[in-house]
Amino acid sequence: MDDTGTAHATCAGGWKLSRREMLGVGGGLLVGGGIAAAFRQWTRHERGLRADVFIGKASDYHVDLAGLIGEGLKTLGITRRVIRGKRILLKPNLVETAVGQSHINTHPSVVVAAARALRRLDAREVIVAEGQGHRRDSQLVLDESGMGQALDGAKITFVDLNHDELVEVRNTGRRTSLESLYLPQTLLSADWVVSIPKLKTHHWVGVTCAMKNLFGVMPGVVYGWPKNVLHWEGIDKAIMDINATVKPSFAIVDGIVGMEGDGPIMGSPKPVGCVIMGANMTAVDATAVRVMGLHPYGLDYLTGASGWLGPIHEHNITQRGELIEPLKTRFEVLDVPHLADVIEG
Amino acid sequence: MLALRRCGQTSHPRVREAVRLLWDRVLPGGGWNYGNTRVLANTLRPFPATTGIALAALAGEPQVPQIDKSIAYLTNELPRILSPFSLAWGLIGLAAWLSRPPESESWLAQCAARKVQHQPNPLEDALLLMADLKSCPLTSVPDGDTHG
Repeated sequence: MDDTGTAHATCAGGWKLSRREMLGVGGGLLVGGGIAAAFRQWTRHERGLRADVFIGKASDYHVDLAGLIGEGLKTLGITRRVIRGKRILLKPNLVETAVGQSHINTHPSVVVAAARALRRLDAREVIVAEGQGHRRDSQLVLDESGMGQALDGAKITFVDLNHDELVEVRNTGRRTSLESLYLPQTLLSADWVVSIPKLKTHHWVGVTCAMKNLFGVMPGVVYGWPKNVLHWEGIDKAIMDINATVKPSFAIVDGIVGMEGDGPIMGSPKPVGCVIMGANMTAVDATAVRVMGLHPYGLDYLTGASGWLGPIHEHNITQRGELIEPLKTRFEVLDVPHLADVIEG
Repeated sequence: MLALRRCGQTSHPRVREAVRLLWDRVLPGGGWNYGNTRVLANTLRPFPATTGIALAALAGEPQVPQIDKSIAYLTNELPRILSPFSLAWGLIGLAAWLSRPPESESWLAQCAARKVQHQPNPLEDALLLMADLKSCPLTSVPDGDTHG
């Protein structure tokens, strides 16, 4: 309050808005999600939501990834007490395969390492599940990505979510017009769902990471290939609905070698050398976007989730492990108008 | 389209519409993805199963260069594929254009042997059996097209 009794909001950029001025632009805030997002960015206000995110260095896929993931879990307070007896579903990003393009999908070593780290904490069962976005033939993707062999070697069961038993549940997000979502029974019966995405650019929404990876839990037998129903509803809105409804427990991002340019399938490999972890998807994704040298407030699904599904402002995310700045690696993004905000902020 | 053809309705307007759609969606280098041929800056990749299905559906149409390119794509891809769904559809597509290589017998045998280790899957079993037939019932059109 100032001496006239007028409340002011001080923005990060040094601007001040009186309550009257704020009310004056209220209609605009309601109409423009972008304006609302900018407002939240300036005020850092995300309804009190905070989250911790861990970043660990991993120069390649041959280092002790299970040890690194174990360290991240411990740092974030995920102890044996939390994991013991749980049935855990690991959801990697398996989209499609192409010869010599291993950077399209989550590397099998990261998935197996996550399973090992969680088994060490006495998980009752760890399974891997995915509903490939671009192919009906899961076996072929498992064969060509090397994931099938890796899972067999580690005695981990794979479940094809595109063809699982289905359960209709209420869509708790309601950003799309869909009143309910059909989810796989295997997903719903898991105690803990862990999103294990690849750090990639995305030609429609800017970046695909922990939140977008959950498109893969949506069954192709209902939503088509490549989940066309959700694309028509709006990818950003669908991402928010899926995350609000599924409520994933944890994310482990394969940022050892990511993808830049025309992601999520046609881009180029981008070595970064890190693993990003956390229990809040929006905070993990916002951190990942910063590591990519891009702007979280330029992504519609992150600004939409800000203050609802989690925080995205740096002020509200406690960084554990490595710092962002030394790891920051600028990812090239397609030069198209709809991605300008992701690049420029 | 496959069902209408099987019923002899090769001239049915919906079959002709489907043929036009498939020609529109064939990739420049041969083969089919799921729908579009391009997204923004890049041409999409062909897949074995979708290419096999499209070739099977187009059986009896003129053998234009796109068909030859698609056959070449599958002939190149299938030797390394052990997945029942993709291998079976690929071979059904090649058989529809009388291009099934003699080695395909051993590919199917390898695939079936490996499949024994996996969970039962009636769809894959049915596809492998169809792929093993000399004349695929999906693509063999009976005499007397009823012309829609």
